[in-house]
Amino acid sequence: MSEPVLRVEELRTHFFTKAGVVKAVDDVSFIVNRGEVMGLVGESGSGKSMTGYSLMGLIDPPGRIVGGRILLDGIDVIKLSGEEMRQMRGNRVAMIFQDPMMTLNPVLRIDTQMIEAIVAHRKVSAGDAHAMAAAALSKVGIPSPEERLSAYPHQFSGGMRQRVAIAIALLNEPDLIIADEPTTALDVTIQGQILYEMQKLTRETGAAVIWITHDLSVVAGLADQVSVMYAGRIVEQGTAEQVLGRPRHPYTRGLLDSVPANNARGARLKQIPGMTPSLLDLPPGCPFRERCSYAQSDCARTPLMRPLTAGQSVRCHHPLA
Amino acid sequence: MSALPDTVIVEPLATGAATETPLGRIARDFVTNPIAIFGIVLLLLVVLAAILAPFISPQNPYDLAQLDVMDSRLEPGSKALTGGTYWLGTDDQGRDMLSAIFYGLRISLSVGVASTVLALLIGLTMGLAAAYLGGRVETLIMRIVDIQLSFPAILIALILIAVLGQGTGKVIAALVTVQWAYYARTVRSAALVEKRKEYMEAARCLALPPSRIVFKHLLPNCLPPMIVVATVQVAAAIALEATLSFLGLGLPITEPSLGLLIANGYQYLLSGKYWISFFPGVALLVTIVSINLVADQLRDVMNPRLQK
Amino acid sequence: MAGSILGFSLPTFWVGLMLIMVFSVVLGWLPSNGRGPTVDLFGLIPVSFFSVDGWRHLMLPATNLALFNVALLIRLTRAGAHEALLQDYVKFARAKGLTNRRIIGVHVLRNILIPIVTVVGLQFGALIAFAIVTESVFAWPGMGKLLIDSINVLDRPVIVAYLLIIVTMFIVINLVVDVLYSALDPRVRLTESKG
Repeated sequence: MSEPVLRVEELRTHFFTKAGVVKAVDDVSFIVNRGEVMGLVGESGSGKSMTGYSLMGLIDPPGRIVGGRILLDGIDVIKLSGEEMRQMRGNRVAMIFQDPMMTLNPVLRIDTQMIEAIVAHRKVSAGDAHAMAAAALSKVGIPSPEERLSAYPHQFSGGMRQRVAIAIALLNEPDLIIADEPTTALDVTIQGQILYEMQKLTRETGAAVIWITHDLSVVAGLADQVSVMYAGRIVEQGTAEQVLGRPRHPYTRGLLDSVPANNARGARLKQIPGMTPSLLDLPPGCPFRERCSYAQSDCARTPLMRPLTAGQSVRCHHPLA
Repeated sequence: MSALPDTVIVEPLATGAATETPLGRIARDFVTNPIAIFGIVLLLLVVLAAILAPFISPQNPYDLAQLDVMDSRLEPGSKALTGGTYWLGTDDQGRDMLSAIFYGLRISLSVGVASTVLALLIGLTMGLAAAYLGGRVETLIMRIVDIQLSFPAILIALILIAVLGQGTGKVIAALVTVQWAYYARTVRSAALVEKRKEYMEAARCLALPPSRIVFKHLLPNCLPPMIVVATVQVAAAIALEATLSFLGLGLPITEPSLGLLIANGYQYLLSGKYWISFFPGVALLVTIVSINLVADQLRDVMNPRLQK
Repeated sequence: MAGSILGFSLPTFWVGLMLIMVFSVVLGWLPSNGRGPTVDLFGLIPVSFFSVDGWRHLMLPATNLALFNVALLIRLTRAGAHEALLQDYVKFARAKGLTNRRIIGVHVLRNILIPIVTVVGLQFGALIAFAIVTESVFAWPGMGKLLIDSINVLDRPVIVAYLLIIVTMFIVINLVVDVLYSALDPRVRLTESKG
């Protein structure tokens, strides 16, 4: 196995607000290999999006990366200067956002927004860049790309806009793509199409993908590796078969049980009691303690990630059998 | 029946938060900005100077017995023939500039505030009527407002003075006419938003008389944006009155506002006797700036979108 | 920010007086009134901006008129840019690795241009009104000064004529602003067919 494309070690991103310190990302570590899809799963407020932004260097004050290393192809991106990081963004690592309506600038044409992504990183003539943009659009399955290039974002449907965003992400052939809930805002049928496109494209280009989502069904079909996040920490990690087929952390178990499809018809829907804790003052110990039906007295001690079987790790004192 | 989830976490109310009145919150938020504090202190000084003018002026500049033409056009800091110092110099009639400024502040402020209050009352009534009655009344009022607001204030004021002639009452009338439309429009937008809210529905269901609904329920909720607009408008009214007086079309010479003082000094500017225009101008500036600073902070404090 | 409040609070005529004081009396660089020597354009209309002296006479009144609008526009642009920078498309632009210069100069600017152009167009009306004051201060023989002189001597026909011209100008300016608006914001175009 070659060197992994991304190696994250003990990443910590904190927000220093007037109300206190919010530990949005608290000791997150994972590895993504070339051509692999990693599913980063969690509820809203679990820190998964913040992890994605940290990887891109898009954390703004009052937030700051306070610790850890992010090694992209061996380079620690936290230590890069502003200009060096800018050169990485959209070039070696790209991001796709959740709401395609607002991520494209409504007053600029599609070709403007695509060509600028190319020329920001490479010396290419306008004509060549235009051709590259048209090729990228047809690769993501948009018909008659030449016409589409002169259009404005509001003339596209939601699914098409997201395809455009994917095309933009792929323009400079990045090594890593971070997709932050790209299908959440779309209809289910469109969602399926987008997932299929992404799978095909990543296989063709060999790019690694981090797919951030709260939807387990998406992860089930798409991801090779899965990391489950809760309250800013990773609580379970492993291959998709391991984590989804045989979850060892009570939270993962709870998430899987909550999916309505998993339950027998007419049976009462299961839910995890309580609410996600405020990241403002987390009590010491396991953050899931308050809602866990297996909690015991020693869960007041903060658990660390422990490997269980080959490739599966869990942050729990009493992992499930 | 299964038990309710027993681990619903409820955030405790911050102590004291439940007992603070809206006015208290506004006051508290207001003083967080040092520039705003500076503004309100400045404003208080100006208002005090205006109110106490007869008591703090070294000389009553409009009592002809006290003036001495031999003292005219003296530089700031010169000594008077009767002892005492003319701190800011004298004008062409021998009036002490400092005293003239205090008296002028009085007039400028009173005209500004009077016209604003009148315009506020008229605009409030018209705006509320338009919002509450709707239909053709609303269309008529709002079209008049639109037409009036698309013209700059000075133009309307000038034409009105040209038609009405000069005099204090007519100047105030012109200022009121120029301003009421602004209040009418603001109140109407606020009232339209409030009209859709549930408490209005409830008041109607209780069959309360319309006047009660409008004055006790609708009005208090429309006030916050009005207060901000009114504050800014006082400054604008003062500036407008000063401009009119400067052009010779404002208040009569018997009511010398700051604008008139500035106009007096205009002719002496080129011969280097700057103080006759300069100091009244500074006083005018300080007044307007302090009002604008206060209004700016009020607007930020009262803006619900900026509340976290 | 507080500086722009200052710019917006200064009464125009007083600024004019101060400009005269500083630049004409104290420094003696620029003339304080009138418009200098004129040349007949097309043999009919005397215009002064073909000579350097004419431009020198133009400087102070023009600056005086511009000052109010400059302060207003600074506040408006700042508020608009502030809001625009919080939008998602800025985040996406940064994720694409664009330079700050491009993000502000193209993405943000295009979006705030719309309200700014609207206000600039509408401010034309205020410009004409303030010109009345400025022309009086600088004794510039323009329409504004004509109006004041006419009001003083109760020359009614001139007042009425002035009003008619001004109103027509306003209507034309508002129309131009409306048309410009639809040219700037692609979402507002009425005749585009859906792609």
